[in-house]
Amino acid sequence: MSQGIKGQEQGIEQYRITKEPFYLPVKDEIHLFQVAYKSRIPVMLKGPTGCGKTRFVEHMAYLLKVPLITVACHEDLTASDLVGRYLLKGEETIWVDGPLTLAVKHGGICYLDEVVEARKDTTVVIHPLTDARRILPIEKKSQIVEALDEFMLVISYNPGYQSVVKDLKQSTKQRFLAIEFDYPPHDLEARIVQQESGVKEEVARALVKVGEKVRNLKNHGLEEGVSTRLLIYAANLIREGVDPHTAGDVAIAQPITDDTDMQRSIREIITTVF
Amino acid sequence: MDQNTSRIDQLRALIAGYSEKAAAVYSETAPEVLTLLSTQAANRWVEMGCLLAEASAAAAVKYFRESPEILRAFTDRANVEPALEVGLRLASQNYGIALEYFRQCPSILPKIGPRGLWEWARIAADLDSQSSALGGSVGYGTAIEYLKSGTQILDHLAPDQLSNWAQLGLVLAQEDRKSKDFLSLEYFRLSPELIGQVASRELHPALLEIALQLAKTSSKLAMEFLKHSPAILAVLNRLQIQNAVLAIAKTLAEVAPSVVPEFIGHSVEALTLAEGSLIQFQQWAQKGIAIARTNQERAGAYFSLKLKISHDVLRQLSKGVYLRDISRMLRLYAEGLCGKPVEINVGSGPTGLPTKPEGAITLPEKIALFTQPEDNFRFYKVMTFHESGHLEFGSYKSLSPLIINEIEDDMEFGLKQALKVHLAGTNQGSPIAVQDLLGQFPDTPLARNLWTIVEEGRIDYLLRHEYMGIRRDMDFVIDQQLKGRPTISELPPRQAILEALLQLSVADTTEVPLAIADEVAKAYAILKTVQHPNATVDDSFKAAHSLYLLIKKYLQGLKTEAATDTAGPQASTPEEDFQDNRVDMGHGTLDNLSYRNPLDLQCTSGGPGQPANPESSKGKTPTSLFKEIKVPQQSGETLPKGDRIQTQPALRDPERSEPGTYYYDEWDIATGDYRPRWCRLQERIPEDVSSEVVDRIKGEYGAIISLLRRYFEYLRPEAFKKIKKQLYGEEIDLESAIASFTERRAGMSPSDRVYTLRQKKTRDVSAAFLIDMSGSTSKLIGHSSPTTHPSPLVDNAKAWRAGKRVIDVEKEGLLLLAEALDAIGDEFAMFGFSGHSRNQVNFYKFKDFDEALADPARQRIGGIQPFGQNRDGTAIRHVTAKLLGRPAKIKLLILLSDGKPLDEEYNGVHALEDTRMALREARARGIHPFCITVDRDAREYIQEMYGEISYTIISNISALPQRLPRIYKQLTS
Repeated sequence: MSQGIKGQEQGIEQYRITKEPFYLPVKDEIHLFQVAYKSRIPVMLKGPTGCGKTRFVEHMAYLLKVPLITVACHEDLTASDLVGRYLLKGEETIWVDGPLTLAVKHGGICYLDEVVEARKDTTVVIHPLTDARRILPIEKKSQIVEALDEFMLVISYNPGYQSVVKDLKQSTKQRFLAIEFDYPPHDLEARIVQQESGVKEEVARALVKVGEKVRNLKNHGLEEGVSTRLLIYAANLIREGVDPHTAGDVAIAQPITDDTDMQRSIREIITTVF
Repeated sequence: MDQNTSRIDQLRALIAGYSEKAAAVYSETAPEVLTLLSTQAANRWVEMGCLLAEASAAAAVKYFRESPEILRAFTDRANVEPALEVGLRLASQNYGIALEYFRQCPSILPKIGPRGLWEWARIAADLDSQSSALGGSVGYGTAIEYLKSGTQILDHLAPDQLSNWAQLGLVLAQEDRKSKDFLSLEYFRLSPELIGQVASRELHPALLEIALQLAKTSSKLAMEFLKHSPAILAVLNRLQIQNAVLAIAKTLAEVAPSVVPEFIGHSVEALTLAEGSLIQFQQWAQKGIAIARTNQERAGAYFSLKLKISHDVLRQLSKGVYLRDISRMLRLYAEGLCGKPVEINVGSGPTGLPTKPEGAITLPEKIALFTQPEDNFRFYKVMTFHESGHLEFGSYKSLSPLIINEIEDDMEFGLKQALKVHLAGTNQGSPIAVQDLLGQFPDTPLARNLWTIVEEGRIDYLLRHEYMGIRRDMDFVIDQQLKGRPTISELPPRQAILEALLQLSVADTTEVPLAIADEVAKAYAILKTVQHPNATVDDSFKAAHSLYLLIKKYLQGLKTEAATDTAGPQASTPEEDFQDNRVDMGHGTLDNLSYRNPLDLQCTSGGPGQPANPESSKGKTPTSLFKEIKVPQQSGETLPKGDRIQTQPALRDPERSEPGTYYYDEWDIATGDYRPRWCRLQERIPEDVSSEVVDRIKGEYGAIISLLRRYFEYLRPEAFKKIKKQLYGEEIDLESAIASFTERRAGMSPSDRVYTLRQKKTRDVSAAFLIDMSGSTSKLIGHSSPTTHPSPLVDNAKAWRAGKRVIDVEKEGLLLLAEALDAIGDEFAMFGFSGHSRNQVNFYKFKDFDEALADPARQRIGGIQPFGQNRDGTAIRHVTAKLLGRPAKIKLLILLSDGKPLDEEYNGVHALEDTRMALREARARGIHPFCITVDRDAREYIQEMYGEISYTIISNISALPQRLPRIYKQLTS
């Protein structure tokens, strides 16, 4: 599993995934990803939050036996945060590689989660890596690093929820293969919930049913449907003996909306199913 | 005899000393009178006569003339003397009253006894002296009325209340003296009847007490109260409630007398709203009393139920649940469950709309079946849930065309024939509407009822199977529902079987009379065939058909038995027989369980892969019921305008949107929820018109325009701004760099924000102007006639303005504003809207955000013409959507209107509330709405419509062109 990326430790080995993360393929995404890796094409994972994008990347990193460096992007994330910067050590300055540089130099998947959140200048460093050049310019060191064959850039992007202002630019979008993710179909999702939480099949199925019903409400007042992740949380609570109605309330109804009518509707759906 | 005569003469002489006329009358009546009276009493009688004669001969004459009759009326003549004693005391004060007193004595004595006489008489005297200030005759009149009604009032009033009753009269009389009114007179005249209306004597003390308390404030109030409360008390009916109402009124009379009539007047309504619960009613009233202590006016509105809080309190106290509180929540619940758009309508549940669009759920306005609100909510929940089940499990789907082949062999002759004719007109292999098939059954009502039972049973089964959690709630509701069902053994055979099946379809056990037990058992087995997880609407139909055959056979068997018993001939066909026997068999329609909406077979879903019904029904034979049923649905209330198919071919399929067509929800205050996709908005770009108007305006306002431009250019911010302490930038920010070095020296971790960045600075404002272009803007300003064309010679601004319409001034305003905005460099757009009905909201783009201000845009603004009506809410929602797509930080929506929103089925409170909701939605999404209205009468409704949204009223519309840029400047700086 990936650890903190800004640590002083430069070894890439810590980013290697040793235990197989549980992942159930929905379609042929595993094959597609493998082909993309082989062909050195960057990949964009599209889909709503909590539907398994990150887990998929972890799974792929394990299958491809490469390290995975995950960067959760945020508003203040700059190019230097990705590429690296000089740090002061006593009276001297030393250069520390950023996560992207690390992956480029040592080979591995660099996964930029929710990339649109990052500052605009990050695209500057992404672009040359995502075309045939596959190079990373390190401006501060006046260097250009060519990526190893094992390097792969993966970004995730949720077209639904960001504001119009934060849409990815076409020039960025069109550098990636896009694998679309959605919530898994009923049976699959039930198996996932069951596997991840260890609840009984009936409970998992009921939770997935709640999930489907709640997802029906998207665009009727809900920004986003309930994620598989939340369903798993709810299942975890139930496994630990929390009453399903309470579990549904705290893990489903409350997190996804602040609209009290909506919360109540969701609670009623939960009591209808459980 | 002689003795008597001499005594009469002696006394006559005494009287003659005062009045000869009176003495003469005395001589006539005395012989009889003296035989009736004891000597003592007779002396008193004459004494009184003398006193009267002394004051008024006429009174004395009347006295002596009426005496025999009056005295005969005394039931106990022993009382005559004390009565006359009192009369004498009265006569010394006022002869007129004394006479009337004497007249009333016989009737009042049995009620109050001789001891009560003086008290009674004294009040008369008081009344007289109180009101004598008004002029003798009035005071006299009041006292006389008092004496006259005294006997009547005692028919109703307990004697111990007499003084209270009279006291009230006295207080009123005192008041009359001040106000020069005659309320006390009215009081004495009317009160016996009014109080008589209140049958229960227990209530009288409170009634009088309240009136007395009120009279201290105002006589009118007291009279008002007395006049109206008896009727209301009669409606309230139960003594306990009447007492409670009066007790509250009593408190109110002390706290806020003026509020009492409002309270009494609305008590019945309030009690109904409180679900007849006295406790809730009292709690509601207590809240009102608390308000009354601080604000009487508000309390008046509270008690007359005009205040929102008044209803809120009742609702909070209510154990019932109101649909409007939960309708949105229920809609979301149903939409979540079935995954289809749902609309919640208010209706009376099972007897709801005759036809409904798919996805419509009709629910009662309020449910107060149970004492606990949670239980009432459960009922709503189950109702909604059941309906969403129909949507989820395809009750409204069409049947597979194969179904007819499957049941063909079993079909009875009549059905076969009907189907043959019916299907001749349809395409082979196309799906069939359930309604269509049921209509072909010879006994359609039976077929429909059976279909309903089977299908509802299937849905309930599937719902229970799919949703574990609902079982509790469904069991609870069904339990309650079954309690109200008729007893099967008391029903005629036909209804009995249907009822038994209905009960069995939800409960699995019921008491069935032996006579039909066999049939019911067979039917139950058929019913069970659809209760498995994969049952479809086709299975339901097959089961309904089997049941139909089974029950019809049974009923015909009964008929044959009956016929052979009476040895009647069997000439007619079985069908006709059956029809004839309807009444005997019990042909009443089956009342479904009330948590189920009527299963409306007419609404079939038009899902994909299914030919639209109107097409497939073409060329049907007239015998088909299909046509008769489909037609009303087409022109039914779900599709608003009957003529819209002709005039708007593009609208035939509302889901097929052409470019520039948008659908918006509309807020419905009545249900407290949105009507989904209710309004259709069409974006249009007006054609450019000649530059004439623009040129004229430029000519008129040339100087102002250049002034405005200069002024607004001055407001334009600097192009670039340096921002210090940045992570990256063009130059090093010396100050922070030094600070950073210092920090480093000091051994701290230094800040890395050491650059200055030159950032392009914009005002970052995006403004959208929305202009109401409805027909009303063609109104002329001022009084002059619109026909005169101003001659170029007298072409000054004033003459122009005299002939200007509202829209002309709005245009000028917009053009000036456009120049100003262009100068300041803000991004802006100008839109207009008009239209008719919810299907046709026209949205005109005069200048879009990305468009530069050039002549075409100016001319479009110049070419604005008033037209149609205005559905403000929809237009606001559209502009909101447009503004949300703009990157600017500050988003302004400025609405320019000339009056209330008004459109087809869009007026009054509904229109105001929808507009308000649309503005609130905009605000909730980070847009700043601002409303400008030029309607001088706007004050009446504007507060309600714009609520917390800022607005301004421009009463002098001619000032609009200059005001608009100023308003804008204030808004954005």
